[in-house]
Amino acid sequence: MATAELIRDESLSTTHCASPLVEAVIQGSTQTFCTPSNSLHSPRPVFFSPPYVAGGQMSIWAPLRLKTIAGFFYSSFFQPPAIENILVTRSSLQWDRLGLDLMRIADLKVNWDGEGADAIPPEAVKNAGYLLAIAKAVAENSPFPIASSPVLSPSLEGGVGMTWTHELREVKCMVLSDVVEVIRWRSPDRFESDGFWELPVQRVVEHFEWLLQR
Amino acid sequence: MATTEMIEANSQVSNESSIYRALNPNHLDGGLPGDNHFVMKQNHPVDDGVSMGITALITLPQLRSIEILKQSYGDGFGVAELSVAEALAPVAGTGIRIIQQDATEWGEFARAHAILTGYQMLIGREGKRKIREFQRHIVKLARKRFYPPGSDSASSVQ
Repeated sequence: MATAELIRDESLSTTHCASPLVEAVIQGSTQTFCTPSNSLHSPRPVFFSPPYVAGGQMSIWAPLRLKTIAGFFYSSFFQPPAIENILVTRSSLQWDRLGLDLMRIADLKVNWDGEGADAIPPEAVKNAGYLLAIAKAVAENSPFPIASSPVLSPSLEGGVGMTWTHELREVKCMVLSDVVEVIRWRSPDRFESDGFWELPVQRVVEHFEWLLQR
Repeated sequence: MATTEMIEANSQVSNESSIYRALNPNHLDGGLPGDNHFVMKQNHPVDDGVSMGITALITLPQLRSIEILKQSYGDGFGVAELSVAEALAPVAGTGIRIIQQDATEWGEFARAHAILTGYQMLIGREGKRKIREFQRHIVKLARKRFYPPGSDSASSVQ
């Protein structure tokens, strides 16, 4: 009910539209974007989990709802707004896609690679969601009008891999259930890294700031 | 003693060798070899490692004909080709090496099987760092010469 009310809120206005929705990527899920009236903020992604998921709200969708991705809602009845009422920009889409990538990773089942890989632990997905939010905030506050964005991938090491390159610099994170392993390089040609850290997710921010500094 | 040395010498894939790495299509990263193709963990058994084929002993079509690989990766799976010398150059002295190791599941090509191993000896945080550095290095090498799924022509991404 809250979801429907949110979408019908008159403070939400839209100007342009874009597709696609993502049913093909995340079975049964729906994604849309909303921007408050008179706001300079980027459109906020709104994700709707599938109505009938094994485990319901305690399924793999649950960690994503817990503030890991802004605007993630559970709905069993939501009808997407008319497509002409949806605002999407390229930069927002870039980050929204990462949220969708993370959902896809969260949805992987045991043996997702055909060679017996484990599912990605929910805690690792949750941490990756936090890390994405941190990365987006750093990118939006960086001196670069269009900063690059990271690439996410499921890892056989039982976590979520995140690689982020900007100009010559590169940061790689292995997001695990309890810690984030961070390694970074100042040049693509260097073999030796600048260092290797095992950090709680909140402390990775300094490495993102290093990546996007002038 | 002499026998032991001979076995050791034979088990070592030479620096002049090249090796193939069969690529699980589920691990391709934007269509390219990725980190999951070269997972090296400190707690892997010491006699285990990343599975490879010795190009002097098996051709690309022969590698793609191995039943167990076809079953796992599908017909015409992607393959990366790497120079042993280039692969191991930055980790000389660390114990990381590529050795021949029979794989009965490779059938008539059992002798063409090799493993990338020795990374299990790298311990602690510094060991993890070295493994990550090496993984990035070898993924970049794999992208320099790889055969995309279904293709006999090598592609390259610098």
